[in-house]
Amino acid sequence: MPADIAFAMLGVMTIGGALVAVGAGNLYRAVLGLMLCLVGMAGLFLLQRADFLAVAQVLIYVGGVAVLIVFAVILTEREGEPLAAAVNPRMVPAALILGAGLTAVLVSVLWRSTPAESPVADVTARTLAEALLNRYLVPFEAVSLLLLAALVGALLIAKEKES
Amino acid sequence: MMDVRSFAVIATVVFGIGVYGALARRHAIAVIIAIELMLNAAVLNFVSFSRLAAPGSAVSGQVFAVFIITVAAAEAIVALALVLALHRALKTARLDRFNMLKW
Amino acid sequence: MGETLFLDLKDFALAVAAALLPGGLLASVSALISAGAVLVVAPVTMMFLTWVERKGVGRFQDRYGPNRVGPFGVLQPIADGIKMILKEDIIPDGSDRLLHNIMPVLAAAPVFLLFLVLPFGRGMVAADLNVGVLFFLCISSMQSPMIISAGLGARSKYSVLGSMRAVVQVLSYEIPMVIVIVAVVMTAGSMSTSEIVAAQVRDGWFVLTPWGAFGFIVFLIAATAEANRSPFDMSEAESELVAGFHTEYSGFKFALFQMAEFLSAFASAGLAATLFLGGWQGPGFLPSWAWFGAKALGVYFVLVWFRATLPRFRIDQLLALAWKFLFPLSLLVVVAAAAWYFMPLLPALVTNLVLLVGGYGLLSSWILSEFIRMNAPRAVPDAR
Repeated sequence: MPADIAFAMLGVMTIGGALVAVGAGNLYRAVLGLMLCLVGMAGLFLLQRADFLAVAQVLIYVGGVAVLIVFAVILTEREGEPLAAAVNPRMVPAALILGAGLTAVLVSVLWRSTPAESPVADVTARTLAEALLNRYLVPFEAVSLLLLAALVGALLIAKEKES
Repeated sequence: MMDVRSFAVIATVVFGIGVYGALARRHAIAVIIAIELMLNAAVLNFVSFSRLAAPGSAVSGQVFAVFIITVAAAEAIVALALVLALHRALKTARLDRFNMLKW
Repeated sequence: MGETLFLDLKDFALAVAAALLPGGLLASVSALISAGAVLVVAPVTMMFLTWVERKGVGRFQDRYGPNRVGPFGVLQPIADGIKMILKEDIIPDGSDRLLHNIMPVLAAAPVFLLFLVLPFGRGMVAADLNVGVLFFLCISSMQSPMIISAGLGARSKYSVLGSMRAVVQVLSYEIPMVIVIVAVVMTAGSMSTSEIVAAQVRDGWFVLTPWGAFGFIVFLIAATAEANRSPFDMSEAESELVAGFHTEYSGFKFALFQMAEFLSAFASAGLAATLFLGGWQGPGFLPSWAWFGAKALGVYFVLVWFRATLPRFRIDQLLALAWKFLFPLSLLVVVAAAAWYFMPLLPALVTNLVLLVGGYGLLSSWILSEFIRMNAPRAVPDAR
């Protein structure tokens, strides 16, 4: 029962945060909405006993990506161009139809499925680490290479050219 | 209420919101935010559906989720760097102004 | 004396709850009692910490510090609190009202969560997560977006500058801190705080090994920077930025920021005691929670000592220190910890000393030469 209450609250938090993230005219508020949504997601992971993922999610997204996005907003903000004109009016109908339609189709499919017996997987940080460093070692190393490449590439792209 | 279906519904709704945002928003950073939403909806689905896997392989879904989170972080970094570079070149971060290849 | 005092109190409260409530809720009630204890103890600790800080700094500067309210001024924090509540609450014109009003709460609330995973004594951890240390890091990293939003919400240039500095600094110093913690987690074989303490009961305190000693020093420096404390208080350098990101805050909202700052510094001190100083263990004449408190307060006192002794860094020196000194040194600590774990004692000792002392020598001479280069008078560029 307490888990159900927590689930309802986290669901509202996640969806509400997502709505703020795409609806807010002010980009700072959009980032706040994104953070709210991501923390709600982390709570949903926790409810499914994915402790490590929940914590990693908050650590990476809220502590890292959200801050980066705020920095980018500061650096690209300009006086003459109010952020409030945030939505491209010609795209709105198409985007609404696509987003809402996709959601409706997927949800209706989900709703017709038979609810399966869903045990809560017991995945601790230890089993996750063992899987990452044995069975999934090659993808793991590939992802670290990707991170390094992204780091160097981002530096190269964003660096001011020395005249 | 706590079965996989309800989690999947939340993930779907967030994904739909992300699709709307990625298409309708005009500011490049707002689009990045929407893409992050979609990626996270995918992560939630991986975590939820991994519960249905055979007991020994439930970890696979979470491994996938770890990879998605990592790739999403890398993607955000590169995308933001691109936005900064474009902003330096064109003095705007609005996507509908990036139309130099149109004519 | 009193070893199980707090556990007995909790058992008593649970027994009362069991008599009054249906059985299904008992687990929730148990969690609520632990959380409630944290929520009650933390603000009291914060009040005591402000007193320790002011008294300590006063003594270091050859003053008395607060001594008017109560014996030795111990009631001074209460007087301060009353004053803070009575102050006028100013919201600057042109600020983003939503951000301005919500951020003090969002900055102060997560700090309480830090105390959930600290083992205050034998069996006294509010939530023994199997990712405990990572949880601590994740909660403390939640502060940087709050700080930056608080600064931006005010739309004042001092606030914005302060918050930018704070975030750059917190992000930079998080990296050596995390890497040093990796060394501890590797050696203890677990991320749960209570198991890290258990590993130190088995193998001896980590600070007594060479890698642990260096790791402790790196951790302490990084934690000082994480907590935005002097000599790393760039974000609120009062002689440059008025008060940094909380310049525009007054009254109780200001008090909330102060509380977040003091409590996260104390939580870092507690984490240092847990990771390196053996947590709650100690000779039996004092109960385990008293040992933990003594160690955490000792580390906190060192932080006060730093503040009273060292002048403030400049922002470029601060980042150079993080990236060119602490970061490589922390990687060496990880390698040394692995060597200590796998080798027999004597070769391990030799490897550790060569790696750490040699690395320390090289890195410190490099960073010193960098500092000298930074401070050298610049050549005047040719007129173009």
